[in-house]
Amino acid sequence: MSLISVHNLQKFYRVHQKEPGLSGSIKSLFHRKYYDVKAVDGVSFEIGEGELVGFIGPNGAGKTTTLKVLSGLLYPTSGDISVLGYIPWERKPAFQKQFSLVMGQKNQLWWDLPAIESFILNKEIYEVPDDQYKQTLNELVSLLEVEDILKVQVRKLSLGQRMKMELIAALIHSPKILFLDEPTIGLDVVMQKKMREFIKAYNRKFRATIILTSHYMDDVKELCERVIIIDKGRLLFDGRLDEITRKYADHKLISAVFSDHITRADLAKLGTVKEYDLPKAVISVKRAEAPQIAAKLLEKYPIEDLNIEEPQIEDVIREVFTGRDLA
Amino acid sequence: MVNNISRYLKIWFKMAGVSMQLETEYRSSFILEILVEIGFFVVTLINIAVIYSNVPLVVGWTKWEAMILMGMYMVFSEIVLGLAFIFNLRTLPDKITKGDLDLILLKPIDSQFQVSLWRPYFASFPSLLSGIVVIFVGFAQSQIRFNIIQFLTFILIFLCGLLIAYSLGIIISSLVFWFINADSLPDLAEEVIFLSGRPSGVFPGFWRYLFLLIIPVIIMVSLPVEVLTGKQSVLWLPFAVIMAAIFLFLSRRFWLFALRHYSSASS
Repeated sequence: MSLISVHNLQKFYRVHQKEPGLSGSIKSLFHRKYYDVKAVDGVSFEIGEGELVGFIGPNGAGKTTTLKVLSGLLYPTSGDISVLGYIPWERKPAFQKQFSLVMGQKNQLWWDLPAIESFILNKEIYEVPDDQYKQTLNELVSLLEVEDILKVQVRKLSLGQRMKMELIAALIHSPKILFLDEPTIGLDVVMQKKMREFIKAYNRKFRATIILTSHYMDDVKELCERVIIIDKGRLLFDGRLDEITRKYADHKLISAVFSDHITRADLAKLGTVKEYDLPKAVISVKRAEAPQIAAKLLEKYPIEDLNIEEPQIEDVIREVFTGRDLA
Repeated sequence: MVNNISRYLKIWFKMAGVSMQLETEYRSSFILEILVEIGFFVVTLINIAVIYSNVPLVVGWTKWEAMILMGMYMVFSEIVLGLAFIFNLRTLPDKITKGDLDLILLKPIDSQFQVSLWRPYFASFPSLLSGIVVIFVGFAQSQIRFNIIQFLTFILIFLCGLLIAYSLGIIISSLVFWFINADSLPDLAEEVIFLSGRPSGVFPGFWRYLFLLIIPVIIMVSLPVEVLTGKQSVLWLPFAVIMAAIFLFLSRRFWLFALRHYSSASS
């Protein structure tokens, strides 16, 4: 059974056009030309219990808008959306008690107080029973290793420590669904990794359904079996991460280390030269032709080492978005 | 219903505790706030002294009656500002532009409660107390006496006035949803409420109807004080109750309407 069901979601914004300069501003006071910005345009998907789904797309693709519709902050222009059996934008408290939206760039903690104060307040707001509160808090605190900073004022914490506290505040009511919008933004590499480990552990331990958006491909690669790619408000791909390569990358990369000189022009005859930094070079070739071309290389040139590789998932996705041909 | 009220009260007291901690966190600024409030109080008293050193009566009010009115206005405005404005409605424009309103809308607790009654302001408490002192001095000097019915009616009309001021605050501040960067709308609401410090007699003809029926600032301070001092009949009570009910209803509808607009238009 799916926990989240989105059918043909559309969200348009009306914005007005303004001609440049002061005269344009004055004109637009009296007469405005409006047009619609299609933030999300006909997106459908279903997400089941316990899934950890990556939501990726460039800036302005419609990721955050979709999350905001799912969490009830925005009314959609059209579409059938059901989350936990509720219509999100009715904002029923019974629904709101079962999910959390964490936005990496926004904080709900009181800046001048220790984080524990915000947790206690959330306990009251979400009506968490005392026993459950204590247990959840203990579990989260030990998972995130923050025992010693619970009583430190939030403003004195590092960004990473603050993000951990934000997560605890968002999870203190044990939500069934967790929307994470850029949870690792601005964090250093070590902290990003810890955050990922926590998200994974939380998903396994509590069978929480998690939708995650991120700019960092590593987040998605390490965490999500399933990804949904949207661009310009439309759904481009919904499936297993490794299928992206198969579907969109009709090419492979041959990287070789040469023991003798080879000209760029010679390589270009075989495929698109991606890297030319002798003794190493990388060419991109059609998937089906990769074995023959590799054989040809080995036959014609002195080679120390040769590899046939799948293109990096980042590259594939970038190419999908820019719409360029890969080969 | 009863459960809900006790839950909201519990949360409010938690928030009052949080607010107290936050205000005292920066001790020097807390003391400064209190000094500023006392400064306002002194200026107000000087103002009355100056006016009545020139004339014995202003629109039918003696100096000591005017002091009662002024003290009542201080109590009234400090309650309204401290509970609903300073840390609450005043920050609404900022919450909208920064997107913090989203965090509020996610919570399983009423959004109007969160933007309008969330964090009380305690530094206004001394002004409130000095307002009460001024009222006592006014009564002691003017020899005005009232009976229990007048007193109870006064309390009820005063409460109706608080509800009306709160409702006007919600309605005017909510306009900010349509005018991005209109940071001054809550200030405008405050200015409107500050009109309540005047005796109703200063509003003649058309203005009297405007400030009694459309923007009922007269009901807030002047009317209850007039009832308490015997200038007006206790029969004004039903009118005040009906007006409070109407404004509370309108403000609720308007808040929900404004939110609907926000959720349809924001990005």
